[in-house]
Amino acid sequence: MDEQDLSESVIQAAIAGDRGALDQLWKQSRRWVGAVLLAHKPREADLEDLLQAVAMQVCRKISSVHEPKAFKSWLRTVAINAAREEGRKTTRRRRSMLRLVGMEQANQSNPGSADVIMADWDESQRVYQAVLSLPVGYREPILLRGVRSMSYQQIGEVLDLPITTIETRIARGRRMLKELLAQQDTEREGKLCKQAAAGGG
Amino acid sequence: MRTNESNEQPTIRLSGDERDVLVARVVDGAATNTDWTTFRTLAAHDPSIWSELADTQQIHELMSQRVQSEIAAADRIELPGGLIDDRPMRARLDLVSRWGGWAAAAAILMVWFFGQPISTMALDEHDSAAAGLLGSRILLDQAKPDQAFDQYLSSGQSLGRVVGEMPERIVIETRPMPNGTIEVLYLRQIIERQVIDHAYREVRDEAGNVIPVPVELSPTVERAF
Repeated sequence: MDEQDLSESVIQAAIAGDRGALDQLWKQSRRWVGAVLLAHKPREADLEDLLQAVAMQVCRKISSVHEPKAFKSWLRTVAINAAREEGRKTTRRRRSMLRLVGMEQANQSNPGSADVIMADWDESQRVYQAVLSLPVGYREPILLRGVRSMSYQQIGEVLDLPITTIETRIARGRRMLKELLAQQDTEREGKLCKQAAAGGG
Repeated sequence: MRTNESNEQPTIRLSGDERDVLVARVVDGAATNTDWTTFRTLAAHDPSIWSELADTQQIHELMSQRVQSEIAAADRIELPGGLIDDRPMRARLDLVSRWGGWAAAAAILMVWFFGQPISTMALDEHDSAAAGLLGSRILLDQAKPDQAFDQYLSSGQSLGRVVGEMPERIVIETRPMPNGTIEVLYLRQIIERQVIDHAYREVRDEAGNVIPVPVELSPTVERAF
């Protein structure tokens, strides 16, 4: 059986309170839950913390799932809610910290300009960051496809969408990615040319 | 998809989306026999599809590498021990959510009426009781921060002023220090209680001014915390 294939009997048992089945269910799902969180969480939020929050909710609320078939989309909703809640907390924390320690000035003097960041990125980081900048409708299936062995069908079950929609979104998302990366390359080359011209002049 | 079989070899014209989907299926191992035939036919007339395939494959591989490394953290996350029956907690959270708005209004109200920080007010009010409780303990000006804090909690609880401390500490920031240690900035959350005579809700008038509006509450609990 494939890692992501969850048998209905296991889900049913977990819903009924079987701890062993619930553990099995979690182990089979936690990687794609991680990918869903990556698609929805604020950038600075810690993935492990969010996964723990989701794990807690799974324990508390699994009995509220009525249909085994609805389990994956339910778990995705739990993950998205955890990511959104973290987003709200992060915003509140950032605001209160700004007020507390006057970090507006610190932010202004932050040396992390685009040039410095770009220089530090390796190619996979650059692609990953570009994926995160896609609209969520494209970002999420692409990230889920990055979870090893997750098929279009399994992604469709998580997102509750037909396979044709999944493959169209993945294909279009990749097209957007290529265009985005090509645009970044062009901009970088333009900057390098300007720098070279300024150095030569 | 349109085919043109007037030449010796059939040619195929695909829309942008169809072409992207075809390449995606090949990269993702989801191509059917028909897809492969289409791909070969297309490639015979338009070799640029090979570089499209290579670019897509490379992007997918780079992205997958990164995603795998990011979500590796998931393998360390186990479910918390034991199934948790959270009905009592949910009931309490419901209570808190019902009162959350009033708590904020009440805080404003207290400042409005007393005009001084709550903590000093409470100590003044219960000065003698607090002094009695603290008598057998370390004097505050000699206590270390943790000792002073523990004394605040225990005397506050004895006087009914402090309900308790939330177990979770909220990490705001962690910073590695030059000497190899890590500086952690975090919030500790204390739940305090105060009995007030009136509650006010904060509303804004047409000009945006904040106006306190009295709120009438009917009792919903038999006794205090």
